[in-house]
Amino acid sequence: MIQFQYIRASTQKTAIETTAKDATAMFIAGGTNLVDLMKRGITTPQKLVDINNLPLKNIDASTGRIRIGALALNSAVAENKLVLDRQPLLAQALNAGASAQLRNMATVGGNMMQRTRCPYFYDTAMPCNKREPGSGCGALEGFNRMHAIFGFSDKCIAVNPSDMNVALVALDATVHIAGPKGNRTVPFINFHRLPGDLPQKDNNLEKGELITAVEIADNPFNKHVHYLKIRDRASYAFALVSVAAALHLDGNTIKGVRLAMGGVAHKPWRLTEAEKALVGKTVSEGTFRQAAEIAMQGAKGFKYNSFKLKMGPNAIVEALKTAAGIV
Amino acid sequence: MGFDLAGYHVPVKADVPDIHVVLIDKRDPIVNRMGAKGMGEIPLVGFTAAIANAVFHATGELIRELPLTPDKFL
Repeated sequence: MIQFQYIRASTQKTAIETTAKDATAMFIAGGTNLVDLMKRGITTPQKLVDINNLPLKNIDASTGRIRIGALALNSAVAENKLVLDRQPLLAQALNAGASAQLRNMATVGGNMMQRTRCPYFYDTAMPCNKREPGSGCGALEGFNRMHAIFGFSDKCIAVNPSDMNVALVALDATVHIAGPKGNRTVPFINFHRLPGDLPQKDNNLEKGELITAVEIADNPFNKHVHYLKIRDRASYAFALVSVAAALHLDGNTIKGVRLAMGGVAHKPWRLTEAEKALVGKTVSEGTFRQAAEIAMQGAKGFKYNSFKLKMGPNAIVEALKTAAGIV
Repeated sequence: MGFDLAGYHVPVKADVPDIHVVLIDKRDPIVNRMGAKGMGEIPLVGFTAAIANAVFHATGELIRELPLTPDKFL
């Protein structure tokens, strides 16, 4: 058994200081991914800094935005009235993730910090550049059915498994971060990373930095939204492909749109070009099909995941149709 | 790839439709003294074929290889 020290932080300042100065220290909140990784010997922190007692659970809506504390539980966010009224896409995405038991433990910050991963990352007998930099990628020539079609590198083709992240990137959320050098904010789209030559780094958080909140500015996407998740079974399965779609409609005219995909890249994948192609157009299956084709430009499949090149655009069309209310 | 039941997908509650229970009210004195019948293996013979046929009816695709995963219908 691997020994580790456990500390319950009483203030944000001490939590950050403790974690920043110790290379082997990690924050723990719900622990739904970290404890898993520790049990398998993939992640081996020697010090766990429990942040559950920090006052970061609140969900409130001050001027023009919803602020969700990093320790708010996934289930609490999904059933929060402010979220349901103003950002229902986020609630839908959260409810599509994991299982009820996990959503009751997992926090918003923890959901963002869950590892981008694949079965080769989890199997310590296999090579994985993310787990052991330089050891190679087992998935590249292996069983890569669940893997990326966008933004991958020859070092890593894993996908980010979070559903919540797909909604947050679509909704242009902002991440609030506190660290040893002070506070900063990062647009959600810049929080997670593509693998490049450093697949071991999933995101741009520095050592000792702590996510304190996620903010979503008020937007007109509170009515015509849909999160579509396609998976091998109806619950507790990662997405083969997922789509977060939000439309701002004036009659049948698209005044604004947000579109993002999950299960296709190392980070939640925003479909900016497809969004541009939709603005000003009239709602129709044909319009959505054109946008889906634009969205898929640059996608490339591997031996076992090429089905995503078809499933992806189909899912985009279906999500947009459902969001628009076209049967 | 998979070494536990988290990665080996079996149906979960959300996958299972309403189940209709039929009671066969007849003693079977041969198998055991309780008069109960065993029904463990018999349904295993036909049910995958029945599901594959139901999926065929719904989609027009007859898949002859298990598991019936979404990628096989594209």
